[in-house]
Amino acid sequence: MKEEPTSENSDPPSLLLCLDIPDANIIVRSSDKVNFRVRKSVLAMSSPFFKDLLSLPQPPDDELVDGLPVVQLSEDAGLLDSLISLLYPISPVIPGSYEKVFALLAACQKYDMVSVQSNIRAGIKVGTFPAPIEDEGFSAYAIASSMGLVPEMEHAAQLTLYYPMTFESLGEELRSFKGRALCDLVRYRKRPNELPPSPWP
Amino acid sequence: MIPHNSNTMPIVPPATPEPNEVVSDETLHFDFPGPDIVLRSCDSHNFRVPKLYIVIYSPVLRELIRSISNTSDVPNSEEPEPLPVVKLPESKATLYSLLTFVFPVAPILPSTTEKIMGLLAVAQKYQMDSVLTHIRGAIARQDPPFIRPETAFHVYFLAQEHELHQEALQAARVTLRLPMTIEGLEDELEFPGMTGAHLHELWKYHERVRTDLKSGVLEFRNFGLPDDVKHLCCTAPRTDNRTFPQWLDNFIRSIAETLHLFDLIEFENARARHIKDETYYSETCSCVDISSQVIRAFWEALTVVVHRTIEKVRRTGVIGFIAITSTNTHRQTRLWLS
Repeated sequence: MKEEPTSENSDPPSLLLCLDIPDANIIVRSSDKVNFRVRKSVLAMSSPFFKDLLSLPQPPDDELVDGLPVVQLSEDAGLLDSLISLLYPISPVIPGSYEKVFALLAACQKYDMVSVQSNIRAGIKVGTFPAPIEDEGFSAYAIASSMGLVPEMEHAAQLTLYYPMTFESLGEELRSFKGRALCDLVRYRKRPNELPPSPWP
Repeated sequence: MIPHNSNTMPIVPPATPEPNEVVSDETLHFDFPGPDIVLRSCDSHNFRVPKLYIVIYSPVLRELIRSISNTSDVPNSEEPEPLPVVKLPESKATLYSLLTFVFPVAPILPSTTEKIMGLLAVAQKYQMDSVLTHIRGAIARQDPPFIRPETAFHVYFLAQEHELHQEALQAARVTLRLPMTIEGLEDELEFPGMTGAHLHELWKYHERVRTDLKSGVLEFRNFGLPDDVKHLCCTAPRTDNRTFPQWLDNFIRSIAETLHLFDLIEFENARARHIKDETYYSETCSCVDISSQVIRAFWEALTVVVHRTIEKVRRTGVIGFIAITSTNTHRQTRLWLS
């Protein structure tokens, strides 16, 4: 599935996933120029976005690699590796941090991959995918808010209830709050929330 | 001298008038005599003006005017040749207000805080230094002051957004007068331009002021007290020896941490609490008899220390070192310290 990088990139990211898909009929290229050979039908089935995109006639001057059309995406190879692994009946490539899981969820949101997004969220619940813990709630909220990930915002906001929200405790983390995120979190914390039992010993 | 005719805005005497407050569509007519260029707003309003003023005040617009073609589709009513058009991204209301500070007419400040900050940002973008000074002068004459405790956070966030360093510092100084906790701000966090980064910069500014004040007031306590204050003694019954009043010592030392309580009323409250506490023990302490003259001398001396310390802290994060000399700054500081 993954292909060697093009000549433009001599220092590719190290990827674990290497799956041969003989019937691949399209190349998905990451922002760091790693090519993933996949099947159009798999993309179209999991994503209305790709279904619409692939139904359009290909412009005659579009790039072809080994006769296959290329779709350039803005996600990096690590993220696409995870995302594509979730489309096939194989062991998923699980991101190493909750920030990367959030980025993966945001990509699913962007490409309308509802079912994949649900699977990831289910994986977070059972602990297969990493999630923010303890005092990571504040930065997790800021990141989730900037990506428009509502369930993750709620979870992160709940985590923050165990900690004071002060300039001293937030420090540089405060800088990652954009737009209304800070205001919304302050208001959430002022609501009469029922503090869930602490998940930590 | 530019001639005045009935179709143009009135030319006013050199004395600086009070700025008008509202820009309405009816007042947007701005055809200055002897126009040789058209400034077109993003909402397609044409301002026919003599370019001499524009090129003198703005090196940015000078270059823009130089670069445009001399052809245009805007006919000039007085001349057979069409006037060159400079398309600008600002709205007609903003351009109109800006032009009132460029030409010798009654200056018009926009009506809202956002628009005033937007006007300053436009003048800064076009590098109109003297126009900026002119606008800031008009702002400084506003009553109530443009930057005051109720508006300080709003102005600060807008100033950071527009990179208006002078206003950001002025507003940051006024916020020192307010208690600042994240959860206490709440409504201020909704202001346009508010970002976590800007708030963090403001917090760091407060921290720097606090740090400097700690050493400043300690030095004042040890070496800077006026003689009449230095020799004050508390005769409270619970005090073993006649010593410098502890409540006054505590008040001085607390200023760095609770600068928003640096206020003569808070000072008198501290004294009243002390007297009340001591009266409970049957006798009255001598702190009740501290004269107004002594209190005034103490307050003036302490105010100078606080004022001087704050003046020295001139960085608010993204803002570089700047010289603050505007009338408005001094006025704000006076208002606070008075």
